[in-house]
Amino acid sequence: MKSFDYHSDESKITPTKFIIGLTLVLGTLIAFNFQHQTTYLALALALALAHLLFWFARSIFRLFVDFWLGVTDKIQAIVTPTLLAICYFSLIAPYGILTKIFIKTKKSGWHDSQYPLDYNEPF
Amino acid sequence: MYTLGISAYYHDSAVTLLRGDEIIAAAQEERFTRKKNDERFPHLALNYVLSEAQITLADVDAIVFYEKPILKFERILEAFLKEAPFGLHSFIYGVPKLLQKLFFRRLLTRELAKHKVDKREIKEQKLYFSTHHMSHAASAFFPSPFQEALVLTLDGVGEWTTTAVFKGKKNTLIPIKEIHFPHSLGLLYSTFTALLGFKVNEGEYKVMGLAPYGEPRFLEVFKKELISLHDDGSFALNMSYFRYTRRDRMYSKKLVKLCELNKPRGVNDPLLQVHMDIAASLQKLLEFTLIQLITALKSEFEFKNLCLAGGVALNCVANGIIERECGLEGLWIQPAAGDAGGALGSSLAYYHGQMNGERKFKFPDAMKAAKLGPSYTVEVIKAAIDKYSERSNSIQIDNEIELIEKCREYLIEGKTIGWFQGRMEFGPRALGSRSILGDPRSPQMQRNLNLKIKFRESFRPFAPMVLEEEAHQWFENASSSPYMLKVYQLKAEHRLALSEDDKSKKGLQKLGRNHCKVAATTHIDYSARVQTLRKADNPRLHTLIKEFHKKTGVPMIVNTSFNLKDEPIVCSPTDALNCYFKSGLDILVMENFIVTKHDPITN
Repeated sequence: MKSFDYHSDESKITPTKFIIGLTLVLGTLIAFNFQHQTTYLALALALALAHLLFWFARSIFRLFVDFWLGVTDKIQAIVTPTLLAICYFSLIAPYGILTKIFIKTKKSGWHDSQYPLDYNEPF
Repeated sequence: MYTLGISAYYHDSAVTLLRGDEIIAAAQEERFTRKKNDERFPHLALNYVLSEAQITLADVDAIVFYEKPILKFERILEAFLKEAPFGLHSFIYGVPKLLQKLFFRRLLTRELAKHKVDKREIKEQKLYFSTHHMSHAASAFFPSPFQEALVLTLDGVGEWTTTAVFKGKKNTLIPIKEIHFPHSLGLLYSTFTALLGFKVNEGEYKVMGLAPYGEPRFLEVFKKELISLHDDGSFALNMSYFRYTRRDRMYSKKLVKLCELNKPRGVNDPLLQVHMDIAASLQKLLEFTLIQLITALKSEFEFKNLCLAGGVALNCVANGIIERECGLEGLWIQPAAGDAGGALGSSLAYYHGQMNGERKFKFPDAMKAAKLGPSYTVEVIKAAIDKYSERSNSIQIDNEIELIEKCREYLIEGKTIGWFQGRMEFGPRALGSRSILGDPRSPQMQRNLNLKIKFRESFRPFAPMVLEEEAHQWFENASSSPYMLKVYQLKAEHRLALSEDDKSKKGLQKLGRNHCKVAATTHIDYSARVQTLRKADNPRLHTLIKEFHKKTGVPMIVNTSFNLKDEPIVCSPTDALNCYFKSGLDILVMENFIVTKHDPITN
């Protein structure tokens, strides 16, 4: 098993800490009966939501990286083909079928050759 | 100017080094790594060619890869699209490797940088790409003895091209026209190779060797069903019989049925008459198609000389027929006609095509008898022999006449000799530098060599190495064939009348019949894959055959490659000794050393 050390870069704000912080901010706002209470409340909620989304996304990504590097070759041998199969059925197969319907097959027989050759490029 | 050619990452990787247009060295990676058809980057072969020229990679002016990887990627991707939604399996297993092709320049640079060169300089100033068929065509035309020729390349598939026509004149080579994937004579042959239970890209010559045991009873069906031949020489395959576009297997169920088989032959299944009939029909179909193709090209371009390359050009039976029936003045075939030869072709194509390099004509050709690989000093050979001193005797004979006479007597006694001399050959054939030699007169020699020494299928014939000046006395219409690339028929006066028992034999029973004076080197249909030997190409071996001729009246000996089944041909003295001790070979001759085993039976 391979390991991936992400602890050094771990966020210090956990959801629990964040919710406590948010409650404190909102509580203060309400307590001081701020003039534009609703606007600030909406802003605070939006920030909280964005942070939560970011936190989740980052956690999922880290979990994925951790999982990917931590899994055995056997699991990778299952995951890679699965991802490729998804790619095949979502891209190659539909595009291939559409091409078959709308584009005529290339003709057989002689084709003119390309000349001169460009030796500089791999295409 | 030094130009380096590289072929790699498909099968049989190789490197070639040119100084001007002179071929300094060429070698396949498999010979050094001992992995047959090794496709990995040819680091060891590269080290060798640089050492032969006594330069470093930094001294090389241009490095040319033998094909355009991104075009190849495009073709494979398009094949996936065309076969969708049926190509899932091969997509999953093929794509990770395929993606490599998109980063090919980086990949090659990284590998080349391991040879202590500046990565940036390589990537930006020295790395070039030829096309697959241009590489083949250049390998066939530029080393040939012709000022002008039509060049025809035929193989499985390059980027898109499977068959291509070029016009060669002095130092120019212009591509004219081509046939595209999936219509391919190489893949047609490979499909049947797989159907008959042999390995694709390796077993094609086994199919060719099997053909004379069968009757071409499927020929008309194949012509009608498998291929459309057009008046302009082009052809198209009926793809309902083939599955290689899906990249999971070569043939469709329909083809299995067409060949009257219940199932494809497995690797270890016995060879039945029907398999031999299929091989015979396929071989005839290939010959027929090639004759039609070349005849059509001849009437269109009115050429006198033809150069051939690409894997299909290794079909020496077809080559012999082309030479006989196409009314050519000259036919020259690149001895390393497969992808390894692409390394040579890419460097030549760049040197002449891009740099407008001068082409110096050499007679009989510029290939130096294909002896382009490493040779070993007496000291290295002696050191290798000493390691085996407990199991063998060795003597050093510096008197040339004595050495030749001793070897001649071994041959006459029916002994087999491992022959290791000078520079190793480039290409798939052993031409007298890394060969096994034997007496061609013995009807049992073929079976013994196959089963006791090479451990391979008993039906596969051996080639005669014949004195060039005597070849016409023994083979019909024999011309120069120094690279063992043409098949000729044994002349009637050297054939023997068959007994009633021998006449009634069928299929593999025909093996071991005493049907001619040189049974070990003549196929059951009296054909032979002839190698003609010029004195200038190999003086010692020429003298040995001459001495053998004087004593026996036969100006030829058996020549087969010095290797065991599924192993590359030996390269170093140690490889030769390993092969010698692992096989039933009687004698090993390395330069002036003669090695014999203490206990041949145990060994």
